[in-house]
Amino acid sequence: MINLFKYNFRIFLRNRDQLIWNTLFPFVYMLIYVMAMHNLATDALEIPTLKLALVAPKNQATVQDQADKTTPSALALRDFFAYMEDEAVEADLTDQGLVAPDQKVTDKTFVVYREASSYEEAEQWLKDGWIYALVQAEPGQSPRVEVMDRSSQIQPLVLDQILKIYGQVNKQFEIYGDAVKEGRISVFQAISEGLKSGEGQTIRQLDPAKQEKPVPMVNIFYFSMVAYLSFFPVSTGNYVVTMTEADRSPEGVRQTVSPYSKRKRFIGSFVPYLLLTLLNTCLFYLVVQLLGVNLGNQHALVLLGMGITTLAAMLTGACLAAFFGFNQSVLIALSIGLPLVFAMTTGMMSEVIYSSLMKSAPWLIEINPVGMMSKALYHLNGGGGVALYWQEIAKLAIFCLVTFILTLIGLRRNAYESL
Amino acid sequence: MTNYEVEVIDLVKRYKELVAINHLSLNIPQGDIFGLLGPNGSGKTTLINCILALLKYDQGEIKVFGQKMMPSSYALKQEIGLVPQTPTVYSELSVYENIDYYCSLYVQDKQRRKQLVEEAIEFVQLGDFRKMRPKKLSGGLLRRLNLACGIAHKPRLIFLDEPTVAVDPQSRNRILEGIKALNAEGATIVYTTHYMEEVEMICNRLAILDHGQVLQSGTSEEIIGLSSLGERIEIQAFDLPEDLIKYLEAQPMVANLSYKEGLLSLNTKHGSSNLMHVLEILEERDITPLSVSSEKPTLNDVFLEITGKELRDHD
Repeated sequence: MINLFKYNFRIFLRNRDQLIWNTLFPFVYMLIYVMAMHNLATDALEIPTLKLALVAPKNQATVQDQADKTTPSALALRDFFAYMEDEAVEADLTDQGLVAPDQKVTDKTFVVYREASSYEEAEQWLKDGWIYALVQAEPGQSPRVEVMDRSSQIQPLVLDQILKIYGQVNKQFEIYGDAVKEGRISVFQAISEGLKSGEGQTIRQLDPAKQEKPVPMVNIFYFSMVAYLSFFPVSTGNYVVTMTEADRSPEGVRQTVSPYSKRKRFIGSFVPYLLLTLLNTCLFYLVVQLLGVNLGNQHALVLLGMGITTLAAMLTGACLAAFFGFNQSVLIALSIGLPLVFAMTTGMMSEVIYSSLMKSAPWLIEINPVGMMSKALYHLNGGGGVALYWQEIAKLAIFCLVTFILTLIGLRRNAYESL
Repeated sequence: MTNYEVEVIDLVKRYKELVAINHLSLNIPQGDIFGLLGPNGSGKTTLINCILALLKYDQGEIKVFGQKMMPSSYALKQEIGLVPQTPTVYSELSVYENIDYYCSLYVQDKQRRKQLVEEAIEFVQLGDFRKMRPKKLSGGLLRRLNLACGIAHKPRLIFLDEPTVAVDPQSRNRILEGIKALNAEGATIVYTTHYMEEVEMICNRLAILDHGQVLQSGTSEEIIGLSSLGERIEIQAFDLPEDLIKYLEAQPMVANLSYKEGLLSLNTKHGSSNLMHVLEILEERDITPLSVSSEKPTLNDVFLEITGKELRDHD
């Protein structure tokens, strides 16, 4: 096996096509991308004030009901904002639109809201340009959001984060519901537990006054790019399987006739190729740092995430080749297209696709390894904290395990119908 | 009882509607250089791939070294070497590295493997090229490298699939001599080729395949002896009368004849005294030929008779 490792190292290092496609091309892409995004970079975090209209749910459980120790079924969005104290201010309705009372507004305020009497009224405020978005949250359902102005890049991200936290708090309510009913803890203690679990810190971390080292919001695009480059070497995984299978390459024929089992041969090729590709990934990270892209200072965790994403890429490629290798055109298209599609869904190039998918098919972003890595970087840099970072890494690890098992299943045949 | 290295029993292999191997049975004795002859599409490569457990087959049984051959028969595979038709070497590795790489799939011991690789390089006479990459080798040298990669681990059974295609005569002779040397060391060789003269040169037993079936098998002499063909006689004599030509054509031992520009060519049927008989007829007519030549039938002639086609495709 050591000889297999040794020679596969050499084959990879001496293969000009691999060098160009897996090393040079991503470097060039990275340079162009960073240059293109350079003008968007800002040095400080500026959260624009979000003006929101809240549409009351049909079944509204009030904080008072919950304080009376009836089992809370859902926390109204209005009461959630009320808990945010001076970060969210209830506005007055004037002829010029929603205006937050001066005495309530502080430096920390970034949400100005008012509850509309009906959905139609909220829609009218939206059309009049008085608000950025209307939000209707029914218990047990995802909040419904309508936005008029889609040109902003930052506001949808902030609103999305707020609604996520709201969802987390409501889950905590379900957990602590009985404790509240029996009087063991108060309603507000239950909310605090939910916020302390990690999600709650996010709101405060968005506050530049509380950040020690502000992270430019444009880094969200950089996170996608780094995640995409980490997931780039899908074709390397293809190559390993192609060289192992007798019906895909003459080298595969020669190897299949030998007394080495296919799994051993696969490992003997995959491991050296993986190690060298990981080295590539480390070089990418170094160059990204040199180009001035700020991915935070937790280098080990960033590299770990990039490494696992690279492993996911190679296993994805191996899995695709194991099942679709009979059609080289399809395989090449998938190897090139899949990382790109995944990256687009996470907001690389444009956040419109990301926002649309978050509303219509969020699961596509959840199962997507580029999305996982992008979110991991986001959490590591002030999004949700290290706990959520590890959650994304765990998801990536599961993805790797699943693709590895699928690859072994795809490689199980030892004789072929034709060569 | 003859030891067979390979036994193929009633093998059937289909590619959808096409029957590539059609109830084929074959035994390859130990120590033979066994030739597999057949035109393109006759099933030679498919047969080899089935024997090597690369291809699934629909019916039949294959045994190698007396044991059933399966994809997981790693102990059997340890003793088998393959020299594929297309040179299968890594362009990123040197001559030495390629042979070492493939040998390492069979031999784990580093010292032993080093010795085997050196012997293989010497065997194919690529010592001067050991550090070169395959791209810098000529076609003939590449074929020799291909051969070395397949035999370095000193297998007991070697499959060579048309190893001399597009090779210069010098390299070709070296390869053929090498194959005879391998056989002399005890290896059983299964050799497929389009070139009849190679078969006649090195194979001591052969099988003629067409449409997935064995049409004839045995030694060259046995196969030629089984055919109805006799010797080919050429006699140079001018102005032979027409009635003599017709008389000769009507002789029972004459299959066909032609007379052009003073050259009488006769293809005779199987028999031992055909030439004498023709000369006796000429003597009776007081005809003294200027020259006489006689040629026994070749395998090519037999092949043409059996299959109705040439062994090598012509455009």
